[in-house]
Amino acid sequence: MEKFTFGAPASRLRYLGLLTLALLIAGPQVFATLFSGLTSLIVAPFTGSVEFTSSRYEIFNAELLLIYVVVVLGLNLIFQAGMISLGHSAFFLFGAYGVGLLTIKADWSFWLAMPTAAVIAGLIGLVLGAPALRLGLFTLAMVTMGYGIVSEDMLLEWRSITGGGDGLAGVEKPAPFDSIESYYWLVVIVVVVVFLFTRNWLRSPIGRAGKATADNEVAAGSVGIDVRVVKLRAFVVSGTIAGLGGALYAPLIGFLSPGAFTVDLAVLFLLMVLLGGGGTVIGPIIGAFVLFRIPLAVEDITGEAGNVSLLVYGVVLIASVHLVPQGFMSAWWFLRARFGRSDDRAERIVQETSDDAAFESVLAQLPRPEDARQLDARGLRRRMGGVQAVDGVDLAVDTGQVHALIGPNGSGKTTTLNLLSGYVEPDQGTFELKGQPVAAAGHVRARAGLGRTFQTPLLFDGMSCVENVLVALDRHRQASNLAYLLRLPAARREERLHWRRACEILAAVGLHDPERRADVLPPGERRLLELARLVAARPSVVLMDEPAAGLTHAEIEHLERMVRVMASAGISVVLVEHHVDLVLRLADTVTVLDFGKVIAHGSPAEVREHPDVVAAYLGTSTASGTEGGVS
Amino acid sequence: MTWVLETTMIGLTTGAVYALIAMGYNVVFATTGVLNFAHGEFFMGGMMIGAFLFVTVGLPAPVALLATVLIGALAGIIEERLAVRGAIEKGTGLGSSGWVLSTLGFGIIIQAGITLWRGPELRTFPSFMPFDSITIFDVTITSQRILIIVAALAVGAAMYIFLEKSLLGRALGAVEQDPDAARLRGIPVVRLGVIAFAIGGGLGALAGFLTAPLSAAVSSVGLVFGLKGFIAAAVGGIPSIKGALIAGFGLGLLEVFGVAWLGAGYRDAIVFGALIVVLMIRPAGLFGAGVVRAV
Amino acid sequence: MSLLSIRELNAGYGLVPVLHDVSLEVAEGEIMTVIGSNGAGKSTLLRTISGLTDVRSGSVTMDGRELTGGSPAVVGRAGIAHVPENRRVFAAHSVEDNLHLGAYVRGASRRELAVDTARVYEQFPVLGERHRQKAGTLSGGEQQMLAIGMALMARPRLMLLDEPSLGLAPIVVERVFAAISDLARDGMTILLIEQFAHAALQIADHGVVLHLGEVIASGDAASLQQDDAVRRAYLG
Repeated sequence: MEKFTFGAPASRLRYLGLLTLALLIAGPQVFATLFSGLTSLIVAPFTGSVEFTSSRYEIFNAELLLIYVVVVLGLNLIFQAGMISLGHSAFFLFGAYGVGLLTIKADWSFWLAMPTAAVIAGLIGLVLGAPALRLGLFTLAMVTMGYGIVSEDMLLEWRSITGGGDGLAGVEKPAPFDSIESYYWLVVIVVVVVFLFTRNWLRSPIGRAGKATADNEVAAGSVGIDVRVVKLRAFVVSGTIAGLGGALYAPLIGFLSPGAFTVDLAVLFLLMVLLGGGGTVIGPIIGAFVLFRIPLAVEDITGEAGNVSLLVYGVVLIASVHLVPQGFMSAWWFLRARFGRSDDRAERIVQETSDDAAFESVLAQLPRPEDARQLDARGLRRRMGGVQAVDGVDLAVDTGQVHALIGPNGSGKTTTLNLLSGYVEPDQGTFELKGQPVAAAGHVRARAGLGRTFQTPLLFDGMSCVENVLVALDRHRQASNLAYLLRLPAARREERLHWRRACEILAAVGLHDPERRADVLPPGERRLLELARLVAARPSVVLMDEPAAGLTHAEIEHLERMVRVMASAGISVVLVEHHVDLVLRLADTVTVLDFGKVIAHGSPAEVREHPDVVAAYLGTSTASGTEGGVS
Repeated sequence: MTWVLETTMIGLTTGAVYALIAMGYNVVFATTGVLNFAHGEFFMGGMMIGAFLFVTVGLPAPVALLATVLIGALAGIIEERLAVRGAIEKGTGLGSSGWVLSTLGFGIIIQAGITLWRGPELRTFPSFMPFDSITIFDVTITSQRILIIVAALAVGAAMYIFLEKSLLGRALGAVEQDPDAARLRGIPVVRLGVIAFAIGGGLGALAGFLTAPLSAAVSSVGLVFGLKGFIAAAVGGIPSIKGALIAGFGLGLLEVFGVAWLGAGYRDAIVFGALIVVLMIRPAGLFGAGVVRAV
Repeated sequence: MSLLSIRELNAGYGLVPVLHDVSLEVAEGEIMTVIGSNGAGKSTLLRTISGLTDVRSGSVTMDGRELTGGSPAVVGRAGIAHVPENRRVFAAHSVEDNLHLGAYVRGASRRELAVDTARVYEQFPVLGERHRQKAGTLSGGEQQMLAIGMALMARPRLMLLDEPSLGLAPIVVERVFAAISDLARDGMTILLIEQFAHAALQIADHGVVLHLGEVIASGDAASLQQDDAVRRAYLG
């Protein structure tokens, strides 16, 4: 009987979450008391005192913390999708000034101003996020820092609108939340909603796509994920949430000035996410909690506000990288793994049939493609680095056929493969899948049914085996994104179904420990995982790039069997290989390239004897085709 | 016409500063693959420590300059040890990029530390050139400006020759490409990283010292100069020295003429806008590595 | 008269042990090959000799000198050069710069660099033709030659070759193996790791079979080629 949970199951953490919720609901005095006590406990070694109090000042702090939590939960989504933002102070600013200007200058009601400001922040996120699509990680981090600086500049520059350095006064709390104590409830509602939203997001296929993108963009593209959409979406949603936080902030503080929205604040937000554990569900909350009190404590001790806090932040940053590089959450999991029980892990599904039969049955469950010309590439031409790398190559493969592409290094095999995959655009030539032209983009072709394996298996190393396969299965999900975000029954049913399927596929290729992280797998198993993910994506054509590289004879035999099973299930295979033996045994057709041109094409036997091929590629001696001493 | 020439001089001066800062980023990145988020604070440190040594302590200018540069190099070595080594391998869930945080942290420490030490006020830094200015075509050019432009060009040429022609320079540029393969061939990866950070730190401090007479020394400028210097490096194409020079001077000119047209409040936005435009067209920068590196 | 002597070597990465009590002797001037499946520990063996992996116990001696746990620079100066798996040349640098970097560990003078580079170009003319080209633009076979050339620049007595045939076309593999044989004939001692067991045993004098980090067979190459168990597992 299978029973399992998925995502990041943690029953103990769930209790902690419910406890926190209870405390929140208990009201501002209770929460502020506990909050002030716990955070003062954290800095007690320096301040020498612990204080539990529910003064107005502490209630204010508690609300400020919760607002920071909102922002940080949003920032977390960007981080999880593989980006670092040092500019979230900008979104916070847009939200705050948005509400300020709309309520004061345009006389809007707060209830209209708040969502509007958040949406505006999100729309600006659309613009600000665009560079993220083309820039590497660290350049993006610098660019987002620039956003923060330029936003501040513009605030000062457009003084007629924003009040410039004098600021904007008189933002009022809306009825019925018009006191510090009652405003608390509004903040709590927003925090809880945002928490549930981000938690569902992270655990859904959307979150998985983000994780995959962060881990390996090329691999993500090869299973049909459009990484640009993933990143931009994360940016926009994150910006909206941060803007929402800003919108809440404005009435709390009542008076807006540029000095509150510096890059230091953006750094603080990032630090909170990373210290707690970026990409995790509750890490950022922990980070916010821990770091919040520091500047206040520092001010108490030294009387020197800003700079000593900054000094402490700097030290905390450096120390945390050395001590808890993945944030506190990783330390928690590490401890749990060493000392805890594994009752909330998925039970394995044990297959007792042999690998091949299981593999066949997994493939048999997919609809068999009809007999047709699955892939048809004609007249491909491409110049690279001043050389005509591919010079008029045709390649076609029918349902269930294996077409091998061989040739010396520099013959254009890799470029041809990249042209077929859509990673490179051809200068000339056409490409059709099942008779339809398909654009030259990796994820577009993947969605059209083209699968790909790589010379070195490209896996999502930070994800478990089962998650790796789930990413591919997500492509074919029926339940809508909204259903997943709301965790409707249809979505949960589908998650369970996919989970089971993923485990089946893994077992069928020979991997029986679905929760193992991909990065601890030995090389042979990495290939198997790539194959499992490939099959899960339900391709009709598969491009395999030197799958036998580095394998021993026994492993090559296993690979050969798998390819045969795929072919008989109707999947077409285009195989680039150097192991001539394998090619001769496996292929139905062989195309030989040299200097970008096709020099031979036909059955393996024909090609083997072709004089041009022998001269350019095979050579005469044992190095070719007699790997086993059998010719 | 006079105005154009004067503004061009100011632009070239500003550009020279950006170019020098950019070169510091480049040398560190070319060796360690680290984009030193603390680099702007090294610049600021050069200003402030220079001001301390030259103005407060009263050392002769060349001595103060040398001492400042050496202190910068030393700080770079400390940064490498504390914030980079060991952090390079450790991830934060984003592959090996823990150093983003720790270099950020180191920069914050420098900034806060110096502000606590010397206070947040501006400090004047008098010119230390033997002559005040020269006049060509009715245009008076301050000697400090000439100095910094010449310095940027000279340092640029020296860095270029060093990195492209000397074996040590080639080794510095090889490590980032494949540190494991370098190590395996007996190339002392860690030591080269230390050297790179020392050079970067020294360059940053040098830039600060030379800029201080032109703009006064104050502890809050690290962020903006650091960002603009990075923009020059990125537009030029990290880690190209040639690119840093051309982009640096280009951005300096763009900034001053742009401000003349749009107003001083747009100073940062103009340069930043140029970055976005260039990177959207050529993500690797003007002279960046042909293969787009994920910097 | 063994040049390299490995005794009861236990090594691994962090908590993961990879090599278990591995012993082998490489005589001066011979080609010794290590074969075995993926994950058998072959690359780890070479990396341990080069000083990149933690040694738990055991020893590595070169000409009687203890090298165990020495840094790659120490190992390099002792006369061992490593040609890594997948070539791993510095793609953005020119061929000539790459060769110079190969000699970095020796601290060679300008003159020595020029002399040695010329010698490498003699051995591999294609590198001379392309000496200004960026190494990343070379074909796989040419990069393999370059990687071997880089090792030669260190004037080694022992060359560690990690899977030189990986990813190369059969005709290129022929040429590479011919070059390896030439090197050995000129007196170089070679420790060759290969997936391509058949070809390796053809040019080697002695062989060792690694499986899951342990030596399970060893002997002269000819008899290994005849051995039934070895044939079945690695030769097909």
